[in-house]
Amino acid sequence: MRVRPTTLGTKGLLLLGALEFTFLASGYRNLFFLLIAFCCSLGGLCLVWSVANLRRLAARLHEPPFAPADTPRPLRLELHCRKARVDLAVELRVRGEWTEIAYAPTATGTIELDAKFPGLPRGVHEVQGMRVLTRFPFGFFRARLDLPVSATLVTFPNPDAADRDELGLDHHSSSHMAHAGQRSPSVAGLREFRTGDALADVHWKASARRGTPIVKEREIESGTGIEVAIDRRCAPEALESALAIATSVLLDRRHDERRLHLRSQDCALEVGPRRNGEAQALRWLAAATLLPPSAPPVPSTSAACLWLPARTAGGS
Amino acid sequence: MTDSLFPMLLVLTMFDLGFVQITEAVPGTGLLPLWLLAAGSPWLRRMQRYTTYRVIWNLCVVVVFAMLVNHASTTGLLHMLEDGLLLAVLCQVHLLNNVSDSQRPDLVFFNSFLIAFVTSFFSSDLMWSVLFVLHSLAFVPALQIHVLAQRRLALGRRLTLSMIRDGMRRTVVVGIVTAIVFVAWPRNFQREGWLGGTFMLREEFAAGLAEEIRLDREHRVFLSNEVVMVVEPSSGQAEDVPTHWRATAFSEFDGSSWHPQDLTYFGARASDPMWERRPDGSWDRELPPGNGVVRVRLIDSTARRLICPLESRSIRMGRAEGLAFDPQPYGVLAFVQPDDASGQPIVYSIQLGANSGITRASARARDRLTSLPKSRVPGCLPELAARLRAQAPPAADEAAIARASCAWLQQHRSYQLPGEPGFASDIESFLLGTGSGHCEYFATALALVLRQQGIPCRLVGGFLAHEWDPQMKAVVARARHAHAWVEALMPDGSWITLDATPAADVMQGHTAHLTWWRAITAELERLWQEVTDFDADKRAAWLQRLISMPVDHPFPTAAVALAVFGLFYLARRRRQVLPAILKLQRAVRAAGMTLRAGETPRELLVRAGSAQLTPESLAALKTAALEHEALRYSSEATAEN
Repeated sequence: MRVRPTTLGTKGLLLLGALEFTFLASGYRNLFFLLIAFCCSLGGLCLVWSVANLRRLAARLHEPPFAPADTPRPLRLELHCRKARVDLAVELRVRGEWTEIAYAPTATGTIELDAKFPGLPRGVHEVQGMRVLTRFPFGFFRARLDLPVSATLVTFPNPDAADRDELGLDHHSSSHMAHAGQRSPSVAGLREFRTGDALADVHWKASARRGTPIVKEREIESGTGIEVAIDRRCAPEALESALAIATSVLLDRRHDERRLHLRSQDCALEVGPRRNGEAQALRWLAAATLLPPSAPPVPSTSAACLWLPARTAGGS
Repeated sequence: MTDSLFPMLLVLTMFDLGFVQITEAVPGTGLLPLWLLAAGSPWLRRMQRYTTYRVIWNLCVVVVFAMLVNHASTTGLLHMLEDGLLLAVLCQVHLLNNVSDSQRPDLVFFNSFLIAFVTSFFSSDLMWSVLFVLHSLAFVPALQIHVLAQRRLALGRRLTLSMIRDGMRRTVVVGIVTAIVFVAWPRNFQREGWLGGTFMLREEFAAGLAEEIRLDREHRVFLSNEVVMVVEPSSGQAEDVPTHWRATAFSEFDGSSWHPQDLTYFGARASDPMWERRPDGSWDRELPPGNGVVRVRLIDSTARRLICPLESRSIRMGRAEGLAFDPQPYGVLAFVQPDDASGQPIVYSIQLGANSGITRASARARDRLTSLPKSRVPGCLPELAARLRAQAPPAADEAAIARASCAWLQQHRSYQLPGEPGFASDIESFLLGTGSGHCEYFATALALVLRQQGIPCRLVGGFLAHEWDPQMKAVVARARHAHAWVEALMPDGSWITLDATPAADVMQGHTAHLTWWRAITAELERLWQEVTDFDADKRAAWLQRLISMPVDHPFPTAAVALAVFGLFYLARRRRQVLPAILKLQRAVRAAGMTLRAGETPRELLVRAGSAQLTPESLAALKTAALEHEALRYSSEATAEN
């Protein structure tokens, strides 16, 4: 635990120094001594109480969700302390900078805090440290308690940042690709209605018989889906746009749960229904880097593949 | 400054105004505008957003500042301090009205503390101490709220009150630690400081001994409670201690000031019985023997004299290392070197004589002691003196005439401290009765009346020792007990002491206005004096008392220790018990029931349903049981189990 004076504390120390100087310069007076003793007691106890305010305090950062670049990320934080604590600010160190993510005016027992981390650029950022700070009770000192943390902030490309012009795509090509697949006509069975099920899939007769909404469960067509190939031998801006579009496609497919095949020079990922493999794909999109022109091409793909950046005639 | 913090800062500012008010740096209702501006700040500060409002405020402060600088530069040091205080409190009110939500209120805190600090120089009495305690009880919680308010969160009434309560508890702890530091911290109580006499700001205006008495000073004096000397009678009886203790004598009056007795002139022509040094280091003089002995501890030796009564016959030195004395013709032993005193208390014993002894005085010396100033003699003096002489019997001797004049002044003139309303502007208005005066006015008036009647006399400066401390069995003389009176020379060469100042007024001093609650305030004042008079001896006594307490009073000490431990244990245990459980326990007790072994709250509730309980008790029990159940069987509690 570390303690250092705040601005108020520094000013207070200067005032105390001036008073002490005047006290020593002038003849002894009981009242003067009493006031200086009061100031010193106030400062000393502030130091002790600031440290005590952080004693036996524990904090746990829940697994941070993935978030698009330059977008604030909601976090969940759990603070645990046996006695009542006041004025707790939690900071995370990411990319070498401390950022306050949450503040609790008071805390007793175990509390959950809704935290928010400001937008980060695309990447997989390791949380390098977590600390809790307090200036309680009098604001003269700021006590700091460093706490262990192990987490990464996966920041995938922001789909809104995609520059389709730069990639040579028309504005609807990616969405066209994303919606190119058809619903499977073969019904695998019936099941109870779940939120998000299409109205067209409701089996009305079965629903009427059972007294609860029943929907037709269709077979997932393994052969259909989207294939996106990202050639990372390109300009940085083009790569960012390519990754953003790939992310856009990836997130769009959440609606119909079609398969997505994501291919690149060292990557062959498949995202299946129920978001299976999505986290891995997003992590790859967050971490993807440029490759030199001498790098090998993307392995062969199907003809319906969406190439990012768009392939020109004769291009490799 | 946020809305949450503002009420606390308003309270602090009110206390600051109170501090300045009790110093009376601003006479009468001079502070009323600032009181009103502070009281109106909750509404006024809403206009902060208007530039005109801020400009007017700043202009007013600048104008007042210029006026105060002008006033201070033309009226002297005391007014400079008073003006400084006024400016500080004006700035405080200005900040209160003008610091916006986005600005830090640090200066308000520091300025508030500085005002409390500086006013301690002016007025360190009980009122100041009470104000300071109240100020601290607001200052510390205000700091706590400031910490939370910096986040600009809406703190809410509950959290604010909780912070205030917590802050007050912390203030008590700070106060206890301060008291421990004050008592235990080793220090030199006689330290002069680097600047020595150049930093005697306060002493210049404090009531005390002066080398010259000036009646044309109109400023208010500060009544310091610092102990000058402690006199212990060998008999242990207060009445065996003389009341008038002499330090210096004045014989020349020029119409507005008294000057010290001219040693060159009077040394040759008139002298009290002279002190002679004995081989054992003691000092004696020819006085008829009396039967009283007093032991004096002179704590404040800035008078540079051994203070002793007129009837002193013999002085035996106790603790007075390296001091050499020069006997003065007016019967006082002065230090040979003005800075001889080491800072340690000087201890000496005085054997008292039966009277003042016989003074050797030539006719010319007697003439000088009856001389009136060549100019500025009050016009009413001859008539007043003649009237007083006419009231005395024709055959009355000089002593009787002098005592009659003294009694007349005591009865017909009123006592007032300088600077208070009704204080006489000069000695003539005092003689006429159009203004009141303090001891110097009474003594001067009596001396002039006596001299007008041809009775030689001198004015004496010293201390009126009348405060009996039953614990120490000693009389304590404080700086505020500095006094002036008259000694008249009788034809037989003896001096008689004449004190024209009304005794009750002098003894009550500034506490004269107290009413029915005087007993309480007197006790509080006594406690506060323990603080202001704290010295090395008291510190040693306190520490000794604390160290020896377990041996001297083992059972009370053990009881106190057990009580503290018990309270600590209970508080700790209470903290570990969850509020819902405490609530259930309280509800069960209130319903007059007991929880049986193994009985759940729900079972208890069923049993309570069949018992004869009031609907309120039953409802409270039900609520508590449900809360307890919710806590006990919540998902978190279950997970823990």
